[in-house]
Amino acid sequence: MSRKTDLLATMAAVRPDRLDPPADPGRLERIRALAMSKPEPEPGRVPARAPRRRIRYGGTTVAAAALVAGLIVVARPTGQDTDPPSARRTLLAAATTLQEGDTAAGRYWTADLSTYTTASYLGDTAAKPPPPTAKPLYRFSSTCRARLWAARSGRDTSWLVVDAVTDRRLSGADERAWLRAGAPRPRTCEIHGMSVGLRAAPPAALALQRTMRTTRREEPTYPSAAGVPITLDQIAALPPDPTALKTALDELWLGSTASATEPKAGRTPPPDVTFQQITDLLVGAPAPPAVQAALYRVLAGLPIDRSHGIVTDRLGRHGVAFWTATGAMNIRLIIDPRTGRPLAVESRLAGELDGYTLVLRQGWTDTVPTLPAHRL
Amino acid sequence: MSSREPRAECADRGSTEWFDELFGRYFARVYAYAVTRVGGALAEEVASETFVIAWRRRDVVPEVPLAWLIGVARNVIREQWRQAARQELIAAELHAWATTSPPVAGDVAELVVDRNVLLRALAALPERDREVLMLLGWHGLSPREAAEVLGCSRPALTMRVHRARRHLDRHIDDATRDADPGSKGDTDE
Repeated sequence: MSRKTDLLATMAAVRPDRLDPPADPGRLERIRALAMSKPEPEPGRVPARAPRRRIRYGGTTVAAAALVAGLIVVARPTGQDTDPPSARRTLLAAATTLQEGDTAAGRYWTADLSTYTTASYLGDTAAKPPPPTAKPLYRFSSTCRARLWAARSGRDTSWLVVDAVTDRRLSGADERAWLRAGAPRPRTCEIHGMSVGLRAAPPAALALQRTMRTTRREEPTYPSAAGVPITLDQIAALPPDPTALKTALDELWLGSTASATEPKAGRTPPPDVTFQQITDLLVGAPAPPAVQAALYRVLAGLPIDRSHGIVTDRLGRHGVAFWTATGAMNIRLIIDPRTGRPLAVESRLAGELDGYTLVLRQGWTDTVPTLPAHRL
Repeated sequence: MSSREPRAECADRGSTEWFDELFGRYFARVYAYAVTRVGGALAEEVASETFVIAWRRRDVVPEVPLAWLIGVARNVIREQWRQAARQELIAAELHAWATTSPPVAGDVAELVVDRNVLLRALAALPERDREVLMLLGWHGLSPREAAEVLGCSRPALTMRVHRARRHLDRHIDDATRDADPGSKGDTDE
């Protein structure tokens, strides 16, 4: 290592290209509009350096302000402890922001996701399926960091890149049981509800199919909507009209669950299924902005609750949480009300945080994916 | 990448032209700093917020604004992400850089091995050490500017750099010793 000459010069020589921002012709216009939309600080009340970023609101409203580069939602304090906006109003504002603030230009839609889950290890299930009464050998948590690269054109390959999987036993007893079991490496990783088989150690990439042949349903077609696989072509064809979109979502779910002899007419999925479908599509699917906006509008029509104030996700980011009553298991969607973008999805079992997905980045880009050497 | 270049006062302070010029000159620098603190996934948000604040505080943005802008970005990051979350994000980022290097041959392969060793050693450093080395080694700040960003005196900065270099040296030695010569330049598999 050349540190014997100059360590800092060596650092400069290996400066990663990823420190440079990706090309984005609309960035300046977007940030300028955002900067100039914010209320001016009061004279004499300027903080010494950087002011606190978020406006904390025990009671605030979210106002949509039409700006030169699109509609940007700005949180404005309206006084002491006024009622928070309803879930419906917040979601409709988010829908407007998403629909008019995103150009959806680019060759790929990409999402960086990190999913945390807890699970039990039942033994080598590949060699011999465990009996239904099998007791878990140990419990562990798993964090999967992955990137979805969904190509706009069928000529480009779409990829799911699993960058890293970290598993930890939950207790000392679990750790000892893991060692006794031969310290097995994780064979799958969960990325927002989808289990991905790890035939190679991460980082590794999985090529995604755009369409699904009925005879080969096991082909990888991430993402899914409420457990039902949905292909990139199906996502691109989703209608932007909220009523038509709700019908399409219902049909997707009923088509996968209803038996051939059972009539579909008159049946609708329960609200928690629609909530889950919408959450899955907002977090991990390359839905066009108009469809994302329609997803929020469908969500606004469901019987859902929202947090009375700002919540914090596991990265410490602030947003508003939405959920629908589903018994012991509760799924919460956290969105940034300023941008309308999803920040995280958390699942709680009997009130305890059971797992979560963090949306680290989402959006369209002309950058092509940098793929690791190994394939899944 | 010199930071000594003063900002040309071609446009009236507070005008959109002034903002556009500031953005054009320094967005990439602020973005790069954010990548090294919270990873590429969140850098856009941090850099964006920094320029929103710069506009709101345009009356106090200095003539040579780089250290000031990076100081603002530093505060944005500190206020929004817990230390543990930052450490996890950037360690994953550095690991990804080290493991996704393209396959190369010959002398270049040697450089890539060194690069990977260095990135892994940086990932293993405490945030305090890593930040000061990156400010000087990757972001092109002068020692005076780095001291301004970190809010310390020049002698204190010198001590901090000395300590960080010593720690990095130790991690490089560990990484080099642990490296398997048979898998030089390969990934984890």
